[in-house]
Amino acid sequence: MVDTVNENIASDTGAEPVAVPQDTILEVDRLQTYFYTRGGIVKAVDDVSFQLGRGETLGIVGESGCGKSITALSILRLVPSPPGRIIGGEVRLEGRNLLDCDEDEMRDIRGNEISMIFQEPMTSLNPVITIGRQIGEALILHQGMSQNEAMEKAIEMLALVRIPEPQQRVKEYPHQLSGGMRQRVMIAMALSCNPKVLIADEPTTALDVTIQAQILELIVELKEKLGTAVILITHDLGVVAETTQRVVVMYAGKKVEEAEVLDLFQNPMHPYTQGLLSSIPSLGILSGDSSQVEERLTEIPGMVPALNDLPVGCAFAPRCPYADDQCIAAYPPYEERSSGHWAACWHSDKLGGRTHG
Amino acid sequence: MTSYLVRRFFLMLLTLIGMSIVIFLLLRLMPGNIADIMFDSAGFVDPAEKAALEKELGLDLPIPVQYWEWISALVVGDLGFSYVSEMPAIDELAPRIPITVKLALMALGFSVLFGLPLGVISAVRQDTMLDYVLRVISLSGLSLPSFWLALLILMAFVTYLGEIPIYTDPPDNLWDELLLYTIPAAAVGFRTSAIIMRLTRSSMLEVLRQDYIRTARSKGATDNSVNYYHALKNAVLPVTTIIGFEAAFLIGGLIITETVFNIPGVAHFLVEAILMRDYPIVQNLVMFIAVVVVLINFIVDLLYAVLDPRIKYAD
Amino acid sequence: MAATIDHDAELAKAGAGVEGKWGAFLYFCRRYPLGAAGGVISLLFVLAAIFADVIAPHDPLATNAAASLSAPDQSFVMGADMMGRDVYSRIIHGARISLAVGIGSTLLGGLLGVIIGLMSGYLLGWFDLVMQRIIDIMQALPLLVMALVMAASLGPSLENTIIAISIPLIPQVARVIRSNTLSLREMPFVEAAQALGMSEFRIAIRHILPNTMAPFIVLATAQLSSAILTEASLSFLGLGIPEPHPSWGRMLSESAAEYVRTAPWLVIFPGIAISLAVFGTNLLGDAIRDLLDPRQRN
Repeated sequence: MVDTVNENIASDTGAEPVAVPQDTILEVDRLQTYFYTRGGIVKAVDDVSFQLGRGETLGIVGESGCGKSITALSILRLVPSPPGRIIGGEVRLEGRNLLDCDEDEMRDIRGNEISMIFQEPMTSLNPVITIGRQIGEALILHQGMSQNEAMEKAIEMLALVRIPEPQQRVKEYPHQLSGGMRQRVMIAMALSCNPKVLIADEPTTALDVTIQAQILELIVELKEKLGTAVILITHDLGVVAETTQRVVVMYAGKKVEEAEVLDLFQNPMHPYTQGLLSSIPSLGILSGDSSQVEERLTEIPGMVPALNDLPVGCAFAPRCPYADDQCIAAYPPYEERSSGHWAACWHSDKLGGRTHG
Repeated sequence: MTSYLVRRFFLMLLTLIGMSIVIFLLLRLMPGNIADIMFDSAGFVDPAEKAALEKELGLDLPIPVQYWEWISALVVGDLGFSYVSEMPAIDELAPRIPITVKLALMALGFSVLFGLPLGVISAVRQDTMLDYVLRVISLSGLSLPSFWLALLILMAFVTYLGEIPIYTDPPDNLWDELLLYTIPAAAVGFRTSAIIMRLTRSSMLEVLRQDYIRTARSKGATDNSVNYYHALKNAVLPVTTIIGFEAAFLIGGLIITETVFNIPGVAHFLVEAILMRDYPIVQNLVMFIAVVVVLINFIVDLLYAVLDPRIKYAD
Repeated sequence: MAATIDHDAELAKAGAGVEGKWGAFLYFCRRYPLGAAGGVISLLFVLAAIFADVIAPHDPLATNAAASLSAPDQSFVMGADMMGRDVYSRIIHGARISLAVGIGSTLLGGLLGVIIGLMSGYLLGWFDLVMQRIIDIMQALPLLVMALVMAASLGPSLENTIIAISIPLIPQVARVIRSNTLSLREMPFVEAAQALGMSEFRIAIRHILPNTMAPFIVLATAQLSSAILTEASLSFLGLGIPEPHPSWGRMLSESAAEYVRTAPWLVIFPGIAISLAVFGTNLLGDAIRDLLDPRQRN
């Protein structure tokens, strides 16, 4: 599976040298989502932009608390408020700014044009409603199906996500299914209305390692089949390598790097990305650099800064081996460092080609 | 399921046996017995006569023997005789029980009818003016003593209608009876509805924070569907428990209300019997209350299994 | 939609910039206005109880045949009862009894409940089994019925009323503390203490007990108001505080239904006193629960 994906990446990169595909379906433009808390303003998402092409898979990577989940919730306008508020920017679905839509219009979009899969399959399904009804709900809402039609379609969807005995399962309750099965139900639910965009927020994190690969494989396969564009949010670079074409790296609420997946792995231009890469074991094989395998895994020293008390300069500076006075004094500009490869670091040049890996 | 029922049955039996011992000992601990009270009111004490009365009532026997006599009679349905009226206790209690049961059912109906929907509204409109008003009302329900509320209602009737709607004769028909019980039932039910409302509110707020609510919103479900379908279906589960619990505990509120409104139910009768040390009435009545509480709790547990698909009393 | 956002206003609402004890206090008042109101009422209640001798214009026990049933006027602001005792003074002094019974029985019931719950949840085994059954028995009767029988069997006095009310409060406390203890004993910090060879008793007291205090305080404030209410009910039924002590419930019981017609001040004022005291403690209790119960937090 990894091979085929890599082929895809290679061919995509060959055909389209520009990172942004021409046929963009979703654009997030200078999005800002702040949380107003007792501790002050938490800039959970600060000036984040990216584009998602039709049928593309985009990865958003970062540690927990870096704002990637809030970015996803902001797109669907599901940020809990209070304390959260989307205070700036635009989210355009096929050119239409979702932040200008009223609640009714937004409801038509949720589950219909943009769907979401959540991290916790154990708690994300309603425990007292049958699986069939939960899948059918979106169909009844958005496609005007009757209860019976919705049940038929729910069975079809369960079969699609390869749940055995879908006729039986459709009448069961979530607690009767395992975690992996529940995540399949979530996928069936999210894809039931054939959405244009699927946001998967850490879809495999809560699952057993053996199940993780199956679920990812399923998402990739269905995406190909249905032509859905996918935003895959994860902290796992292995997952990114296997499934996505382009990656956005977030740190402390900001986008710090964006590139084609292969480019990013071979040529990280932000020390944070570099740190992430050297903390995963399988990397040596992937980047084709055998010496990496022998090397000891390194971890990024320090902790993610508190988002309500960010420094003036680069937020990563306190943990960064390259940090100097400039990094502490001013936030680095987010610039295109090489074709389709953007990064926000004063020292991107020094990092090129992984010479310091 | 069967083994669960058997286990539950034995636990219930154990609780009731324990209850009977507790209540029996408490009554025997009371300072003074019926003989003291009767002779006090007569103004003189002839020790021989008093001893004769105690002997007649069996109060001179050792406490374990007295207990055994009570329980062995109770098992075969013999409740003994009231010390005060000297009538069979069953004849004293039987006509009073339906009155209290009707009052309790009316009060419960009132509580659920108001408590549940208002609790949901309060949660859905959290921190709005409406929520504040409803919370203050529900808190008043918890704070106003039911006897005072009953007195205020009586006062309003006296002031504006010139008459007091208290029980004098048995009502002629069911409609008159219901009419007569409406005010006492409301006075008692206010507190219960407040409890139900508060629990519904906090249960709803708890549920509305759950991940599956976010999932429902992400599917494009409307606010009404999220609140009244996805959330309420979950939030109502703990409320069921409290409704059962409160149904049994309404008897506490009725003790006061029946007293104020002079309604001849069992709750009122219990106080009179305690004051008169009428043991056969008190111990049988308290046992009856305990049986009702335990049974209702059991029914609620079974109901819970029906409402919550996660619970199966398999073994 | 992102047009006008006032950062400072949003932050103030969320309670940012709160510093020091005074700041925290002001924030509490702003965030929980009802709770602050409850605090004020409770404070008045406590002050009335402490300074009853100074505040009350008359001796609450002094009878005065000439003043029998006199309506509220300048010398008797809330009127006088059948024996000519000043209702206002009796209400002020009644705060003492209410407070004594309320706090006394909540603390006594709480103490016993905490001990039973902690031992039950920590020791488990036969002790827990027996305690669970006893608690089942205690919970098979409504609070008022249990307190009624207890009060009757102990005889009417202040101490006995406190005991009679505290006993039925035990099961709830014991249940809450037990279930908290059960989950706490699985916590890593308890396992760590065990691994360090700390004695079981020390672990229970030093590590588990402090962590059960938040739910206990939440429950105890709720129980305080129901204890006050139960005292009033018992006294109303003639089984609580004996004459001539000025208990609010007792003041209402003296054939109150009769005075509904002739002397409504005897019904209205003591009732307001009970309701206000219970209402205040309830408001405060709610705010404390919101503050201490992390599940209730936003």
